[in-house]
Amino acid sequence: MKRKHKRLTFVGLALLLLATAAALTLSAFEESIVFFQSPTDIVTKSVSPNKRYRLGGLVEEGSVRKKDDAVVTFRITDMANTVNVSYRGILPDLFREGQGVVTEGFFVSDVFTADEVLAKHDENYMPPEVADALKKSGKWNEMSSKMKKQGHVLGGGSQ
Amino acid sequence: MLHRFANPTRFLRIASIAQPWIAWATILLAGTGLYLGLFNSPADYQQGESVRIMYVHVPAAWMAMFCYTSMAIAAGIGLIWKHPLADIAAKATAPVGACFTFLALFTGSLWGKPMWGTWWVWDARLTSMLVLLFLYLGYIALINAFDDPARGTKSSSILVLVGLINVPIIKFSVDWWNTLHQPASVLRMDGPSIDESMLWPLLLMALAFKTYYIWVLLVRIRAEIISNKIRILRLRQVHG
Amino acid sequence: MGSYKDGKVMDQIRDFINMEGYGGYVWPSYLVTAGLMIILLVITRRFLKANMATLEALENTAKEDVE
Repeated sequence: MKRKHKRLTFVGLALLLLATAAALTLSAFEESIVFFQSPTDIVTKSVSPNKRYRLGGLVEEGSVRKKDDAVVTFRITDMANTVNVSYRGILPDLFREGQGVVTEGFFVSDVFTADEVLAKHDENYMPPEVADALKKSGKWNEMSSKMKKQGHVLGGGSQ
Repeated sequence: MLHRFANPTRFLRIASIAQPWIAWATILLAGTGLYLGLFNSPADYQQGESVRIMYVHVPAAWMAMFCYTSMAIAAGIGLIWKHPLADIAAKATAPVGACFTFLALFTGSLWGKPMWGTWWVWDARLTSMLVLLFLYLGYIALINAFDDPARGTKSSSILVLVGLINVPIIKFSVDWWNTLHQPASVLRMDGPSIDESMLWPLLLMALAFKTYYIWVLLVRIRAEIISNKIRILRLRQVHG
Repeated sequence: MGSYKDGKVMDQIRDFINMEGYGGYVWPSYLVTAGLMIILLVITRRFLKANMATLEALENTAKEDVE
């Protein structure tokens, strides 16, 4: 019985130590683990023109403009700060105003010139009729603003 | 209580009775889940028909983590209390878990291309899931690498327990860091954010995957117990 | 289904397979999942059957040795 207890204590302690080590390592490398940076992350730091960034947030409502030479411009917002983005290429199916997006590219003066745009979808699943009903009853904004506050659409790390 | 089931002979008897029931449960659950998922559930308001990938992707991802946790618990019991059946259960779980992890990655890739616009990104969720696949494969390679099965079991059990740290990382990666992958829809603090018409096929498929795991586990444990008997018999013949 | 004309049924089937253009992503997901799960089950069952046969053979030779 005694040896079993010894082994139990040993395994338990080893796991605890391991968890601590992992937590320390992960928090130390937080910068490289995050997949993208929010407009606030970008705005509060000074951006260097030759560095590649991943910028993520919501596509601001009413900001999408399609220019004639297949260039799309829009603004990415995290409700606190906003960055102007320009992109030439095919947009993913889920690219929509008010929806999450992650872009990759360089800063050309103040405009983020992206060469890749990925859509980030939220965790809500429902049929279109339910979405329409929610919009009609006015519960939609309540729900989406609650989500934005929780940072679900923007990604938890920016909060 | 544990000792009652830990007796391999008794386990063999219980397993052969339980197996047909588990098999039928799997077939019925998967059948109903597939019917609801493919024919009797709506398209998503954002993702359209592609949302149906969820009914295989999410259960596979859940099972990938569930199998690993079960494997770690079994390996821990085997390491501390030296139950032979626990070691066998851990070994039998590995291939199922590896399959589910591969399926979660594969179907996720097929879902990511049309929705996100990419097959793969190195965000925290996808990367930690890939690490899980390597942990499974590493375990399978390690346990088969030793001539002495007792040493192989011990080393691989330690590997499984070390890798257990990856499971909470997978689960909470979407909350702790910015990821392209969206946060949890079902297992979350404030209740599921998924319409009931889509939740039912998802849960049925998840249950079907779980009973499938038990099904394969029962067959595999029986096979491993017999395999151990064969080894003992052969040793006896050589020395006798 | 009887009230539909043949063409309409075919259209429905085609729409179902097409999945709004996502068929190329949805169907491989289901097929590979089902395929891999079935293969794993079959391999595991064969492993059991093979072991059972080996054990039986070994036990028989053990008996013969005793005799």
